Amino acid sequence: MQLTPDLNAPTPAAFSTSATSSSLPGSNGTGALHLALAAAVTGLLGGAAQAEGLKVPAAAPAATWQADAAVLLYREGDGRVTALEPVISLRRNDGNDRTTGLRLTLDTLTGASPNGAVAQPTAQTFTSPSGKGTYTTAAGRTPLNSEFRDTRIALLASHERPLGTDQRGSFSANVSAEHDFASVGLSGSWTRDFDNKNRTLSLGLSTEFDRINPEGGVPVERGVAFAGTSKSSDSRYVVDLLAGFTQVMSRRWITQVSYNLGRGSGYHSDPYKILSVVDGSTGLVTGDRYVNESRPRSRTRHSLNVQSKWHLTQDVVDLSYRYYRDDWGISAHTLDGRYRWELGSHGGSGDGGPYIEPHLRWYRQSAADFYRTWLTEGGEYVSGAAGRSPAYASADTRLAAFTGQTLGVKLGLPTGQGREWTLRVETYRQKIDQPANAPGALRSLDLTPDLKAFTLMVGYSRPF
Amino acid sequence: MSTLAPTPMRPSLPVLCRSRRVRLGLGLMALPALLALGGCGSLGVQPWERDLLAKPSMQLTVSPLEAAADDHTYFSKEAATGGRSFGGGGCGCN
Repeated sequence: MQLTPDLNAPTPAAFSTSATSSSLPGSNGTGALHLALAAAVTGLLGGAAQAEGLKVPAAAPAATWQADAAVLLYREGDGRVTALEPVISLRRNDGNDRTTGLRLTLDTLTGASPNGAVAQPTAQTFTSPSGKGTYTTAAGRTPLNSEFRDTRIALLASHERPLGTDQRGSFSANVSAEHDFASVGLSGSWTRDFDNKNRTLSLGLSTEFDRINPEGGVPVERGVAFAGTSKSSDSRYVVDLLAGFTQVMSRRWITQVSYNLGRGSGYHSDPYKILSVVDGSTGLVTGDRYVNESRPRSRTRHSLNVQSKWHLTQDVVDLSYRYYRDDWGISAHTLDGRYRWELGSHGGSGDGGPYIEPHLRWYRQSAADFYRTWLTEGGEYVSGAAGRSPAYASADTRLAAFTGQTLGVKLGLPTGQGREWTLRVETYRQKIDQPANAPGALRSLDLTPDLKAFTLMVGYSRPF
Repeated sequence: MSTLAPTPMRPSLPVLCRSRRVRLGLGLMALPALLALGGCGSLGVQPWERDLLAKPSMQLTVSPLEAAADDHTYFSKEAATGGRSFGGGGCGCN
């Protein structure tokens, strides 16, 4: 759910022919043609709008619909994850600035995902998560679970409406399901405009409940891998608070500062991730060999985001920066920049020409306190029934220190009457910091290979 | 003389706030809000000056579908989330 204040909704004095404008003014004419059109439109859309239309035909607000559809293809290199994600969204504005929306997303994932174990100079064989088979990783390669396969379906319903003159309220509910995961969420937000809509304060609250049902059950955290499970499922509860402040700086400049506080409690581990136990001098897997990862059962996240948009003569510059920090020891910086280069000569208040939008994103995060590429036997970890292990440990590279770079371009092709095709192509590269002091045989292996991904997104939107 | 060596630990918030880089960053981030809250008279526009701000290309989120897809992708590949919108959105990918 986005905190997107309606600061720019055109006032009647400055109405623009914006396709996505949420406040189409009613007809001021009283002629027979207007009446006939209003009756025809409200007749088609039916319901309350028709009743209102017949009562006050001269100012009858007509309901408008907006449809957006897109297909996203995300593909990682080296035979890793491929995701195909079609999404469709419908929004209805009842003509009185009350908007109701529905969004359906399907997500099909196939490919291979790192299981957390470290590469070895010899081949390694692992039990699949379901416990029904095995897979083998070649010598010198990062172990990938090749059985990674999932389909996700997500539904989001939202409603937004004015609350008096300068206030708006919105509410949304979402459900999502995968074969091993289910989630329900509710959120609400309140927005208040000040100073002739030149500044806006937004406050939001979101809650989410997740149920995790891993294939083969929930592994015993810190236990020897592939040695049984403790229970069939676990759960997590997440609350998010969001506060945003938006300011119109000038006719060409708008800026927003927002702060997000999130608190999750419950199961946060990845049930499919393990860590290797290696000998401190040879670097070879030893003792218990592989153990299940373990993460804290709570996580508190803070993020502060600043975004500014500038309208140049024709083009638009969009810059944002986010600072993130959580109580797992991770801090992150994200810089994002887009330049919308208008190819047509549509000056003034209309959007209507084709455009090209280059996109650059730079991301850097530090590692979680408990991130380990491996565990050293006799050091933090001692194998056996009388052994010991750190309270928390994970080799998930998403918790490692790394830099991510996105380079992309988007092409927009408006085809008139608010309709638009978009095509976006992006590449993403994640350079994970190599671990220091790799022992023995690990020294000559690429333990944290870069992640390279390619994204293609085609979208179409139109009002009706 | 004490022989206690300082314990290496993550810097606390007050220590962070004394860092010149962090202070500069915080200052830059807070600038728009401070300007606005300070009631700087030159900020903002009159209703008839909203022609450019009303354009779809000047909305803070131009394409909600793209924003949602990006959030979902980065949420499954990076540790950081949130900031502009509610993070997560129901996904077992992280």
